[in-house]
Amino acid sequence: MSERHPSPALSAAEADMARRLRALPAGAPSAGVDAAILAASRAPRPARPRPLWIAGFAAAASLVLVVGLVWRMQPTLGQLDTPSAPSPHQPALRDAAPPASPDANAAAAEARRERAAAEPPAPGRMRPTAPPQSTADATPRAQAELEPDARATPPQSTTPVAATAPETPKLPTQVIVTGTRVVGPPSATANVEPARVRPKANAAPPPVVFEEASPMAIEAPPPEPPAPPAPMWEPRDVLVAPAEPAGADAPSNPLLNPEIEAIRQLQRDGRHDLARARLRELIDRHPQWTVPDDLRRLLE
Amino acid sequence: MLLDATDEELMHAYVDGDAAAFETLYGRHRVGLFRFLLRQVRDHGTAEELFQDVWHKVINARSRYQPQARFSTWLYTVAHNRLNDHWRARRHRPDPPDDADARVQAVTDTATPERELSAFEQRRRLQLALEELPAEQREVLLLRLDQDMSLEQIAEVTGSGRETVKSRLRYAMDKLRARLQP
Repeated sequence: MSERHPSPALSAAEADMARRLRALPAGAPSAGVDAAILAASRAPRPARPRPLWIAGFAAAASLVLVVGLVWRMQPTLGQLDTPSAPSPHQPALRDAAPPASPDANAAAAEARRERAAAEPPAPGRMRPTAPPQSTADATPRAQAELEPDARATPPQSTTPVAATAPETPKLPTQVIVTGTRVVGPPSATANVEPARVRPKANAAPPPVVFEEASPMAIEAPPPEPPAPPAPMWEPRDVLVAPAEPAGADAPSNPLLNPEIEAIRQLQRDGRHDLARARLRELIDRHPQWTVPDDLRRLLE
Repeated sequence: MLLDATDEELMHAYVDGDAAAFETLYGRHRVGLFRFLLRQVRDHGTAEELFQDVWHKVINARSRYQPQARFSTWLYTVAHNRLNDHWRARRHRPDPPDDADARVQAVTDTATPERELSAFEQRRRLQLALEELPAEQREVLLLRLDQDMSLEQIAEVTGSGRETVKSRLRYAMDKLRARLQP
């Protein structure tokens, strides 16, 4: 039928028969069939479904990639998982880990000590470490809190990490050096009993010594269990100040001392009226001030 | 431009999304293909059904069209396969009897010399002769005489050897001549 590809010529007999055949009534498809076929030809080509092997291959490749990344990151994660002191976010992991052998703990502690000695302490840098604490000063409750960690982790009280103990410029730091031991600095991370570092009442103001722990002082204390996990900052711990003595020998405001001494001098000189007047004026100006006993007699 | 294009060029244009190319191609082969089918199944409704199926197969398989093959060869191959499915499903094509040739020779010729055969009668006799042909011979005859296909093309369409096609064609021509002799 295609005139573009003429077929070889028919023989005479074939040509005569072909002429007769074409003389036969030629049927034709109906208009409905034509319309249906042409409409089907204009329909968009159905999208071929994506082969299933592509999805399977993608899933397998993703799995291999994830496994490979985890495998490569394992050493890094291992270093991150062995901090020099417990972190408040890691107690569960630490407790779940099997206890290391004593030799391994000793080797690890030695390695950490050397690493910390090589690193200069960064000023103002907070590390999640707790300075060594005196077990003698710790209350039984604190001891009870320390025991689980002591079982799970090796003793780290002598680690030089304390050399990088938090230097908090904006927060008062009390360090009491008793012999070779650093006792009761209100650590940023320690959450032991606050009373342990609170000075005793009616005692002289405790010596406030701002000094960094020397390496000798750090090396001296025997191994102690690490401090339990605690929040980074606990105001009630770090903002401990000596209690103000309420007695006569301890005026609350040093600025009042000259006036108090002047009133006493007037009392000793027998000028009681003038002393009483100045005392009342002082009480009016400082109502929160506690009148000493020796002067209270002027008011009676 | 479309009218001057070959069937293969039109098919390529249709594969690329040119619907008008398909309309031109359809117009070229519409009557020939339908006649080919109708003369085989001898039923207009069945011929239309097969005709529609063949074109749907062409539309759905356009992406697999091989440019090195002639479009008419491909189209009639699709039609041949659809016809085979039809015969297999309907069991409409019994094997020709062994004495088919003898039966053809024994057919009494109703045309007497005294009767002047009209053109209508001649066409009727040709139609009857075609129907009496075995299907393989009729298919080859129609592809050769009605579709102007070469023996090689017919062999490709029917999946037979060239000599087989030649033999079938010769048998079919002989029977038709014998049937149509006055």
